[in-house]
Amino acid sequence: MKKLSWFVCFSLFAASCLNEADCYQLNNNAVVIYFKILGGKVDKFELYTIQSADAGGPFLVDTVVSSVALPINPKTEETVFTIAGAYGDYELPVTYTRQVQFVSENCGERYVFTNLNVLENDFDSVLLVNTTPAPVPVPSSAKNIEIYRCPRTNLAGVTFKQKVFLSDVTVNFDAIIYQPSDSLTTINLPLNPNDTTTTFTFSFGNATKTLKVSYSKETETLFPQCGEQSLISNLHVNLTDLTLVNIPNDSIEDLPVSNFEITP
Amino acid sequence: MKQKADTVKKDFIPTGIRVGTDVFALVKSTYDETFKGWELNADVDFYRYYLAVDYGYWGRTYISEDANYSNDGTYVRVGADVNFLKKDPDKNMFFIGMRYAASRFSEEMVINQIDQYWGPISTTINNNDVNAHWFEVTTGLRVKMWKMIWLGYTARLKFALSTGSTDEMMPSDVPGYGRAETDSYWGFNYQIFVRLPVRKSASIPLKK
Repeated sequence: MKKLSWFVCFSLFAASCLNEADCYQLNNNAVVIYFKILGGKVDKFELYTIQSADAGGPFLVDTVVSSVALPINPKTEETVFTIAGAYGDYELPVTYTRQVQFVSENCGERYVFTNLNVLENDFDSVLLVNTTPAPVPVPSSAKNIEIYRCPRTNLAGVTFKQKVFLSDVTVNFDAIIYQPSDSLTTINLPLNPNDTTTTFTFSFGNATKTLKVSYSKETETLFPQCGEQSLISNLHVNLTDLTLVNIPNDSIEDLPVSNFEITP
Repeated sequence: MKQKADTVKKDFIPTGIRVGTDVFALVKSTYDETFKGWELNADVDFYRYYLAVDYGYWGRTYISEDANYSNDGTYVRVGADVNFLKKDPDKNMFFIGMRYAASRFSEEMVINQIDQYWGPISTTINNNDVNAHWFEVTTGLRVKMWKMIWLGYTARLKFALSTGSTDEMMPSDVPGYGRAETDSYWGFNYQIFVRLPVRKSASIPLKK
């Protein structure tokens, strides 16, 4: 009887040690990308879509982001992300190695991705920070790639005193204008880097107003990969039919600060 | 006059070979549809030290919602135990020991899933003739139940697993070890032995 009790005791001990796999954060299939401006500032990337040709649909649509976590394709060892932004379209091809492992009946399989690499791409500068993609849900500290862009030295920040319906806005030179919506209080507008004046035309529903601004500029090479850039300062209003225009900051910064406060 | 102390003469010539099997593996094979396995155990005594050898087979079959997994392979353990009940007249054992273990196995996984972003994934991946090895610290009991019949259990802490893998697949379950991604693992055997005496053991003086 005493001998039997030994075995009963250890049977209970053994049963208590049986364990089951944890299904949390099984796959590390997220590539975490941070958008930055050369010099180190965090960027706000105005994004139309991020997608991959092999995926069923876009991963992100019409948003402004400083970082994104994108899923990589477990079927292949390369994923090409196509990023359509307000100021350009880019391709970011990444390669990686992929292994699969069965976890348990409850969890199924998991994919283990390593050796992340960034191939030739369209961005001004790309830094690979960590070659191991992040698990999902993505930890806040995860970071794989930093994408840097050249500073935009000609974007002026425009703030309206109150929310306005802006059906259209144009400038008197060939430039991209990113207007996130019709109803807004702020917008960033380009100044002509090759001239010392720029004229904006605002369409507020039926009313059309113009603003002609002038400024001084000097050229400088801030970063070798960006070439010579015009640095704009000393902003002032030349001509306008807007009710009131104040200039709280008379030089251009990236990210844009409020350069013009407008009462339509 | 000096009194002579009671001593047991160290006799390193084996007195018997114990051959057994893991009852738990056999029982588990009957009720657990995911597991098929058996294990043979043997040890031989050299005074209070035992040379222990285990040989076993196990195969697993798991069916999940989007992946089916199966493996099978054999394993062998070789090591030594130290018996701390050296004066027991029945040669019962409470022991601590070490093992080196090695396994050779193959595994297959069939994946049929629909990925949220990338659509259907359907593939079969194999990991053939994978070698693995690890170490174990063991402890347990061997108790004489009746004549040549012994019962025992062995608890083992398995650690320092090293396995091969292919470019596509990482091992999931290593026969004799368990889950491959676990750094250390407990294992238990409930064993029944037959002890085959090869010679009569030296007599052990009774306590006064």
